[in-house]
Amino acid sequence: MTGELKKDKSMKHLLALGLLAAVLSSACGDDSTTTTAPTPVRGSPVNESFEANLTPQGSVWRLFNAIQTGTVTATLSTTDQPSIVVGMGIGLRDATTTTCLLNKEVITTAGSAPQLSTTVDAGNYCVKLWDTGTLATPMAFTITLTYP
Amino acid sequence: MPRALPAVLMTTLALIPMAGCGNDTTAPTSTAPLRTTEVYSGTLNRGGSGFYSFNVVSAGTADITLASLTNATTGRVIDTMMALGFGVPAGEGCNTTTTMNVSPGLTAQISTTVTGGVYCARIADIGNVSGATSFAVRIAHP
Repeated sequence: MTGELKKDKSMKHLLALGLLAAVLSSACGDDSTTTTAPTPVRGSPVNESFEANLTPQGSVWRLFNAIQTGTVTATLSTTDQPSIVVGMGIGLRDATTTTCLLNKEVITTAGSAPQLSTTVDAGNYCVKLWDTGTLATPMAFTITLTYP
Repeated sequence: MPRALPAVLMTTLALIPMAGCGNDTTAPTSTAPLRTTEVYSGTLNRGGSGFYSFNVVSAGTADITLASLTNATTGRVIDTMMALGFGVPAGEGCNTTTTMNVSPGLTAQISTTVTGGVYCARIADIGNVSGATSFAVRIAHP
């Protein structure tokens, strides 16, 4: 019985050694690493639309992030009050004050052509829509943005 | 002694990979330099100026952008030229080494090579400001 126990332990040791040797042999070899170009987080340019409601005397703004230098276009494409003119602007987003610091603006109605277009460097920006004093009831709108 | 032999063998084998297996060439890795973006904002009146000091931690490029000018009362955009400068703090001012008259934009108007140290960006009215004007200058640097 004692002899069988010793034999069993020896077998376990051999098995463990064999497994270790197998692991070591697989670990050895050509360890050179192939570098790959970083995968972009997203493609560029981005085309996106967002819908919201603008209240009388109110404003709405949305953030976007440009990952490289390129052209930004903003289109107030639809509203449910087509004759109403509103203000739309593009600017810098200040992370500290969380405000939209306007660079360009236009007073406009909805249309299919971009009402605003500008070149930007990589960074955080915003597009803002505001009531110029003509809204009597909340207005549903869609803005289409293209940015690098 | 025979009972200790497997343990000794396993310990020895476990140490082998630490000695290396030969061709352990490590491919160089490249990491994009870290950049900081700060926004200097405030209000200027006619003939006014202001500056903002910032700390650069490593060599690279500093980009200065006059990004926004608006009427401080109405919030409406003002498209006019201001003097935008880059330099080093001197006493209670900013000793500019580069100055340009620029209109607001969202691409850098001043790009300059820097090493580690403290620098400043300056904005000044060149006679175009008629009332309280809010401004925002973006400073991106290493």
